[in-house]
Amino acid sequence: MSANRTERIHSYCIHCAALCGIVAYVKDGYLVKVEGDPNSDNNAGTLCPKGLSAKQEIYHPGRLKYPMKRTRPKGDADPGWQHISWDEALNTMAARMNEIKALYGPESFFFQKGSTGGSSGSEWYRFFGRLSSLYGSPNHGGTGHICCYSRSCPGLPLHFGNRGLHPSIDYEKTNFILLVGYNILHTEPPLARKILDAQQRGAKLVVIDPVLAPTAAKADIWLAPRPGTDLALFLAMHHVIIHEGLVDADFLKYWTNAPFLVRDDNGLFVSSDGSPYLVWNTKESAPQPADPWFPSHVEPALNGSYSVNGISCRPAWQLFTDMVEACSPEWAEKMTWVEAEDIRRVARLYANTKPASTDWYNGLHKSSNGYYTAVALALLSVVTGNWDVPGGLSFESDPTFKDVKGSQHLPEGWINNSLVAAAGFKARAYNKEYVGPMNLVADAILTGKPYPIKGMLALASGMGTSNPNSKKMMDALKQLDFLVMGDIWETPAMAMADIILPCATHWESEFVNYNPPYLMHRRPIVEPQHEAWPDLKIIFELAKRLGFGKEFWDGDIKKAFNTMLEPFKVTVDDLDASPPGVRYAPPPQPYRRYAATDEKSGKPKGVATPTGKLELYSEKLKTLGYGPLPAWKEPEPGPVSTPDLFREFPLILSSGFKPMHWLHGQLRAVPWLRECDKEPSVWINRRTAQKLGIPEGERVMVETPKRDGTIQGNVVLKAVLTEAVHPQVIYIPYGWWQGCDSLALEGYGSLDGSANVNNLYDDSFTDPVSGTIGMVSYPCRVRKE
Amino acid sequence: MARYGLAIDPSRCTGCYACIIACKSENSTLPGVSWIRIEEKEEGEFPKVSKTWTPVLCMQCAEMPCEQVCPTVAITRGEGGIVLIDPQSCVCDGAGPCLSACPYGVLQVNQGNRPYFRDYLTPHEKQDYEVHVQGAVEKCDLCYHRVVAGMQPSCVQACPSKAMLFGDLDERAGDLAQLVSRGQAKPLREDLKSDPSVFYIDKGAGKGSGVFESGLPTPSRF
Repeated sequence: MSANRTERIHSYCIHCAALCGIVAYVKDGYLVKVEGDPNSDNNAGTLCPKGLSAKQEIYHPGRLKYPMKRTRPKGDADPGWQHISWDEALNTMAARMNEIKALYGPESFFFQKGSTGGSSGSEWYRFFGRLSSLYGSPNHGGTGHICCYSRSCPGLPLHFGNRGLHPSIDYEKTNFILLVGYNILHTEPPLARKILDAQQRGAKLVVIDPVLAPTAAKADIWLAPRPGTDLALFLAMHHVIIHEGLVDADFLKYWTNAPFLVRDDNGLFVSSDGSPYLVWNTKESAPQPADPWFPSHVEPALNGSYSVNGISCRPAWQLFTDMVEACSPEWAEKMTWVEAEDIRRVARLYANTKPASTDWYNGLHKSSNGYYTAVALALLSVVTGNWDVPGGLSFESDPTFKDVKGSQHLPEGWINNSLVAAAGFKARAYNKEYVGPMNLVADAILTGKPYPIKGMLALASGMGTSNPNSKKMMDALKQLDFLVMGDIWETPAMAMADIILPCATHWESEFVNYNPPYLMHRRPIVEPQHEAWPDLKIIFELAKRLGFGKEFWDGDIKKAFNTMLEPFKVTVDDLDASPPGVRYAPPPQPYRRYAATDEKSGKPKGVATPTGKLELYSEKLKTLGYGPLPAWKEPEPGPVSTPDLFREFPLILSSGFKPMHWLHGQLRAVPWLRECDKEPSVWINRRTAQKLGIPEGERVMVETPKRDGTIQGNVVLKAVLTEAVHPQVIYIPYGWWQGCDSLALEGYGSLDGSANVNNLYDDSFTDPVSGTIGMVSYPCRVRKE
Repeated sequence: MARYGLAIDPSRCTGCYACIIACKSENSTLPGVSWIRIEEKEEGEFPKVSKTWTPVLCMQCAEMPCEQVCPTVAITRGEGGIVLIDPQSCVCDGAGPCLSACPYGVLQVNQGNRPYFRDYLTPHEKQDYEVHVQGAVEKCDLCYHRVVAGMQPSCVQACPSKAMLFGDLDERAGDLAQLVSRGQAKPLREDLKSDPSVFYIDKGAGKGSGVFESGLPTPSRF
């Protein structure tokens, strides 16, 4: 073997957000294999199935090979795809985009980005955002509404000031790990060994998940609430913590708005001349300005009822306490089906173990009460003093690359012209979140309200299967005047596209990123197959044709990377000169940032919330028309909130956890992976299956209603009989549409008769604050096909 | 002398398939052939239910049940006691008695050098299929080519939860030998007395032993 011809290329995998360092072995221009890089701090030589199967993904003959345009009308079974040049594709796109802008305004063109993964969307989204900003459209789609809304995108800025930050737990220091709706051992592969190490060291792992997913299977304690009722469980934990005196009162007094006095008559904070917030000073039995920070003669009251200038009021903490007083573990047992004693046990263990961490993910963001659920969960960290301490719940931002999203190019007042604002999501508009839930786009296309959406450019977005109510999405896409979709594979929604573009896998594209310990220029490990282009190149070339060449570094991607790298004072050439990259150690993660002294004022910095404190009572939400406290609300739909729907559809459909080998809807065509997990399935409790007469492996039809009780849709799946779910709950893994030719498995489509769980949801059960959609507690029925 | 082996900790295995894909990528095994499998077991009734995963592969037995029934001399022990099958001497054409003699069911027959993709051999398949012989019995050889070059088997390196430890059983002070001598790691089937080189951590016994804490330095020789 001529090993000397084999080149070792250091890079990183960006199939998920974890960024594992890899070494690619390339011989004569062909990829021999990919392995984990032993020198990477993240993964220490390990690698997950997705990264390991790179060569089957890259050399897959079923990939899109060249740009194509439709030659037959939409709706025809055969679009009549015709091979066109990149020039023709891009020129057509630029012309049609300019035309739509001139006729209907820039807001009528939608820019849709899918998840990270195949094409590294979590990197190039910055430049996609820049393109939409320059074009002038405030309408930009993402995946936060089905993924991470109240975790990191944007997080919970009104309450904790953690906008755009993501929870970051020091697993070497924590002694308690509370995970909710988060199959972390599979979705963050490089954390798997760290969490198992922590557990081996004696840290307790408690997992809350309606399904016995792999992470739940490793837990010291697994609680399986009725899907969508986690909020009741957390409120009951607060109840126990308050009743048993496990609250960190000092922390609450000084660093949160718990002592702020709230008017009984209107729920707003009591203010007096010049002081927007008051507390009750128990040392002097008198009100005291809460701002800026308390001198030592002030001892703010957390409880009680007071009168200030004739206004009766109570501290916010008293209101919170009053609210959770009704939420005993016995009450929560009725809501959640989790035994009261188990809730008590977990609450005590959590509050008595220091430091205790918590983290949450998708499971909390597919629910109509997900926003307040996340608030209540995060508040557990606050009330027990585990906020922003080593081993507790801390947050971090990505390393500070220069912002290239270019939002300054958007016209003044853009947020008010966005679909998010027009749909009445006032908190989102207040936070200037331009990334809207996709169902708003479908509505705008279909109804023309608040204004028509006429065109869309969608990259790496399987819109036909990735969003709830696939039928509606497909109908909407069909109505568009102009739809361009770029991806690695031909997805079901492409049946509605005018032009489809072959995108490079992330293995064939480049970017700059921080993959500890290196700042890296991720170069293509092999050239793009066929005529595929990296998404980034598509964005840059389109920008030039739209007249934004100057703002896009005249099409020079390397120059754009150099701009991003400015804060690090290195260039792409520097990174290339010393593979795998330039060593970089970010400043150590700061803790207790709220207490850091602000150099100008000499006072504590506080947090970036409206009051400058951690907010357990959000006056801002109140003024925007929402509840200021995370009050209990049944998930919608649900057996309690919509009992009529459950009469005919008695089972609870849940969908969620993702196994390590799949990336959402991607990679089903990769045969190595598919051999491990061949068929789309539905998990049914053994006792339920017996009652329904369904044997193991039987093909069954799952059917669901719309809000009005008529049929929404169905899917056909293989029955897996298990005790991993409650007898009234069925669980369907999501992301199934693609065939695998190698194993003689055909594609499934996306609508009735398919395997696409998103065909089963009416998308009108939304969380009023965040717009996330009720998908975890959906009525359904199952029968033999 | 060395005797290479593994200790596998099922309490750390999350059933993620990384070991299976790492093996596929390293050894280019054919469609339908996998040298390692994961056995999933669910016990109990909701909500008192448990799920465990156990990776199963060739145990590298010193008393080889497969070799004892082989009509030729295809099965031998190579460096470090690794059990090897010479595909050129394997003549039973997929019907050998070794297949049923293996108590772990880890022997697999190469059904022919079929590519994964119809009418299309990927570059790596073109290169790697030369070593796979149609009709021959195949199995895990602990990535012999890597191990003799001082590396770990690909599954051991890839495992995101560090559920596998590779080592030399003859290196008395080594982590692997220590786990075995302390009785913390045992054969999957002690009753078979086949003297395997692959061991499994007893549930609970591995906890707190520290051996699998991935923060520990890997033995320098690997």
